[in-house]
Amino acid sequence: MIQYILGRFVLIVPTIVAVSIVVFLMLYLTPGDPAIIYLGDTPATPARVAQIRHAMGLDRPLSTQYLSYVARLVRGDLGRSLRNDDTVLGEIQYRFPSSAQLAGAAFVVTVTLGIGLGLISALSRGTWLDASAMILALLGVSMPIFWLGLMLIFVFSLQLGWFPATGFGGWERLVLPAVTLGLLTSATLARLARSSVLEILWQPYIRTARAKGLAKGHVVRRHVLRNALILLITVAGLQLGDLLSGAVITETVFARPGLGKLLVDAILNKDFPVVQGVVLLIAVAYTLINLGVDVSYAYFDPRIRFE
Amino acid sequence: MAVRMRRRELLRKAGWNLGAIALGSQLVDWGRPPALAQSGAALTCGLAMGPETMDVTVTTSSDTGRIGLHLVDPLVWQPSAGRYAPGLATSWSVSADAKTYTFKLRENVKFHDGTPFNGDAIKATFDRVVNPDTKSQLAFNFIGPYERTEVVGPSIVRIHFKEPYAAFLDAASTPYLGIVSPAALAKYGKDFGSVAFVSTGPYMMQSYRPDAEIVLVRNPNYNWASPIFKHQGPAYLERISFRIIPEEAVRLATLQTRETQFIVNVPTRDYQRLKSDRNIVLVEIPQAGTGYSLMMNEQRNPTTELAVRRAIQLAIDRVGFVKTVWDGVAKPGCGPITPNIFGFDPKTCGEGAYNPEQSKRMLEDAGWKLGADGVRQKNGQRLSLEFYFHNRFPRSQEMATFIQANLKVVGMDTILHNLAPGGYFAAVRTGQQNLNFWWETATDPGLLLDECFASRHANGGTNRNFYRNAQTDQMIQQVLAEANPQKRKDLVAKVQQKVISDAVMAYLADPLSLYAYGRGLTGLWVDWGGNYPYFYDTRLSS
Amino acid sequence: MLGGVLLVLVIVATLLAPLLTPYNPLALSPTDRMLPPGPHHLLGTDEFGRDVLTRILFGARTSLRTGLVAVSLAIVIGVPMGLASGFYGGLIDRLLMRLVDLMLTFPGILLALVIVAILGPSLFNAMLAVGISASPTYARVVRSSVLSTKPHFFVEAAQAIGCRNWRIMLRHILPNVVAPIVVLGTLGVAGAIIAAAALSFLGLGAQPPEPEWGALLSEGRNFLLDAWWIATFPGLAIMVTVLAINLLGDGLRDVLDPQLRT
Repeated sequence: MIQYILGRFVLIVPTIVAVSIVVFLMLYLTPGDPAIIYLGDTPATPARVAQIRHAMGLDRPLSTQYLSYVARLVRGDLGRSLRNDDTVLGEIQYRFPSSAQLAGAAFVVTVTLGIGLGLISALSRGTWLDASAMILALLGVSMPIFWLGLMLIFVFSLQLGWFPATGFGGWERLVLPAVTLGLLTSATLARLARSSVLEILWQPYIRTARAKGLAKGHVVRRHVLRNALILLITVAGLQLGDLLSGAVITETVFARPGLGKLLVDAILNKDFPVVQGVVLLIAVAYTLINLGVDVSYAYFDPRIRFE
Repeated sequence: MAVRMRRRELLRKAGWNLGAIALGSQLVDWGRPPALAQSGAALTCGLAMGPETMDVTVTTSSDTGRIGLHLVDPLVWQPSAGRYAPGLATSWSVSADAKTYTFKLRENVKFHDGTPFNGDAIKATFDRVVNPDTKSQLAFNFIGPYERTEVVGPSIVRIHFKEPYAAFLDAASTPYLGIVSPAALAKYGKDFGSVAFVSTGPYMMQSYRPDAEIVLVRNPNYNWASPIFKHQGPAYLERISFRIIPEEAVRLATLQTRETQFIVNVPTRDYQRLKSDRNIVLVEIPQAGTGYSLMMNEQRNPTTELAVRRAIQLAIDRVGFVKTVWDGVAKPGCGPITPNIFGFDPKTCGEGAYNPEQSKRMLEDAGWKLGADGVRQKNGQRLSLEFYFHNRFPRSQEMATFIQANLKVVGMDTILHNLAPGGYFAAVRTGQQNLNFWWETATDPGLLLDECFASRHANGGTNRNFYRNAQTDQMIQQVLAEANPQKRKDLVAKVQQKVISDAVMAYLADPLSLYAYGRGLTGLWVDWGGNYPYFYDTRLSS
Repeated sequence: MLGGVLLVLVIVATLLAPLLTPYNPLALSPTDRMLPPGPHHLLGTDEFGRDVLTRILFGARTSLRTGLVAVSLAIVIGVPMGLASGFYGGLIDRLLMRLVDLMLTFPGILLALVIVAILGPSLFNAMLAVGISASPTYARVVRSSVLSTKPHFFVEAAQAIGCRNWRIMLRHILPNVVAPIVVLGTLGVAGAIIAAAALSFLGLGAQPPEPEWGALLSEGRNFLLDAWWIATFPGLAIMVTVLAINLLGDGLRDVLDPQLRT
């Protein structure tokens, strides 16, 4: 087991190398020069553009740029933004708590709503309860995030005054963005949960348990929920990374600092070091989360063992 | 068995945590009023874009300037167009050739870090602006043909320019040439602007959190306000928070929930409704600059033809444009500079008024005949225009949609390219477009005309008309060099007439700067150009 | 059933759009600006005086097409990967799954922005990105279905009578993974329509003035307090369509997966 975990840890290194090369090439292929984007509508002669390119280190060959990046990365230096000279590490450190909080809270919303609706729906299959739970889930899936966010702000901030509309810090500023971000994924999870619970209910051991005369509640708790936990863990592995970096719209609407917005702005500005830094962070986080997920499979499902 | 116990425990804990969250949400004080506690001495101001850095001498962001004006003191203030008042300089003189500016500096002024403000600080600040490693954007443009700063004495400096430069006082009145502490520059190095920003202004930077909030705290030692303001000594408000709220509907909502007391860039959609709201004060100031306009590339067919460019000007319904796209909260554009700029020539307004029939006739006479698909043709070439814009330009999609429909009426086909900034700038700098938007806000006519019409900016720069005309170049040089106001005014008018007769650009709309605040805020100052609300004299009552 | 009927209605309305409405989806009419719903304009007009109903009907084509493109692409890439990975196992499996992991570590938004930046912003290019970034999910799901199907005796039987591998995969294994693909696919069409809306919000979606539901919603969001109909009806259109597609997906799954039939 420990060997397995160590092996997976070692795999992080090639992942980082692969990710950093791909990101570097991807940004290189997209049109536009960071210096020209930086100067934008500021009047600048070609000589001035050349000066800025030099100051940004863009006049060196691509391979030199990449290797010097790697050399710094090995020393743990993620570099500085091409645009404002902020350290990439600083930019990430500053935004990470806000993003992590939002991702965590959104995940709680996803899980509570998703598993809850899925369970209700599966246990009452074919009834009106089933149908309304699933339609509720579908409503969640069919609302674009910015729309839902604006609606929540209009209702709960502007009309009712229950929550502040914007900002970061304090749980009351977390509720609306977390619901906004979590609702979409909860719909997907609800449908997955419903079908997997239905599958479980059909398994012989459930029939056995029921035949033994165990109370329905007991069967649900002991057998169904525990199996549903596996689903939850899987979804966590797939979605936490996305929640961390894909929250740009939620962050924009609710005026929160976050990695998603940092990443999108950096891509649009072709700010290489920042894009690299954020994507590497996400890649590492994703790998670690999934390692945790795989390890916990063994914990929750005795049938799975690692060689 | 042990494993099973742990599993059960884990599940129980998980359940407990979920329960705790549910419980937590019931502890909300549902009766809480919408207003979040705000002490009378603190102002929260909602901005749209937010700064990338707080270093005013590096940035190009108006929001950095808006915040930064509170952190710096300009050398001079410009209370109305072309009139200057003391700032950090108590008096000044300009040499006859406009190549040397001498400033007498206020004494006993201290930077926020306690070090003294003097001529050496000005030299250090300006020398840094022109240093390529600083990557200065606006300030580099504003400092013009800067040569060097001569420190004549601790409180007298002389700024020398390589060429005559009449726009320097205007430039020095913006936040972007604010003087920063040389000690802090040495101490923070590349972190200056993000970790710290140290200058002499009535407020000091307390915290800088990009994409979220920048908090300023009152400078208790401030005792050098310009006489144009209503009081002396420290500012009234103890603290100012600038919150970054990009989504316009949300920014407006925060004013109503009292999360903010002042917002910039009020959505024009809500203008009428806010106007009748008795709890909200709207401030509207015509924004100085070029207004929204359309550049037409003279190096790419078919906008190489004067007749086509004129026909485009005539085909655009500027009144309808303002009403539809800007909800009536703007003035139809009429010339390369807005009417409040020094030297604006009102005669330019009559030219090129909306007249689709004349537009069609003009195209017809130039040999562009209507084809079967409703698009004109000449010698087998369709009258088709490539229109580039980028998604960060305010309301660019709506503006482009409107123009496209207008041009279609007279038989032009417009292909819209809405790009990310990278693709956009790559395209327009190499002239792949027929049309692109232009907007600039500044207060000196020389700089505004230079950017759009001088051939030195036509080489991949901001003159994306690729307009090259020796006569115009010479006139613009004269505007930049002429310090005598009456002569300068005539020159500015001549440039306007010249570029209008050459049909270089189409002028769409002159926007208003819109600010809104709740009743209870008094003593607001905004510069005449409309960009910088200044809270030095401001008080808040509940 | 209901889902199928609804979807057919949506598709018919889309195809007959030019017959159903007298208005042009693109022509501006500033005098009819922001009219509320009424007898002439059933769902009102937008800020340019264009009929909202007409824009929704014409926008349906773009929206449905892009949704289908994205999902087809994801299936075309993801399903063969999952099949091969699950069936052959060993080195192929490990290599393919590493690739899938690598793709999953990339934020979908990065891929979308990069593709749009390289190929130019159009909804079609954006959907390429959505499709590519969704494909690893298909690969994973198909792989796990294959793994659970492979031990069944009918596969062994087919191998015993000398069937070729591709034939076993296509004839015996693929039908058993159809159910999860259908479920994912129907969710995916809906998800792609929503993703298009998100890209429009970032200014990288459909090019104006072409109507597309996500863009209609995104552009209308600033009028919510003054002219609610501009954004609300496109929102409802998305909702109804997504609902229809999902109900259809549910129905199909119940038909395809005999285990789940009650």
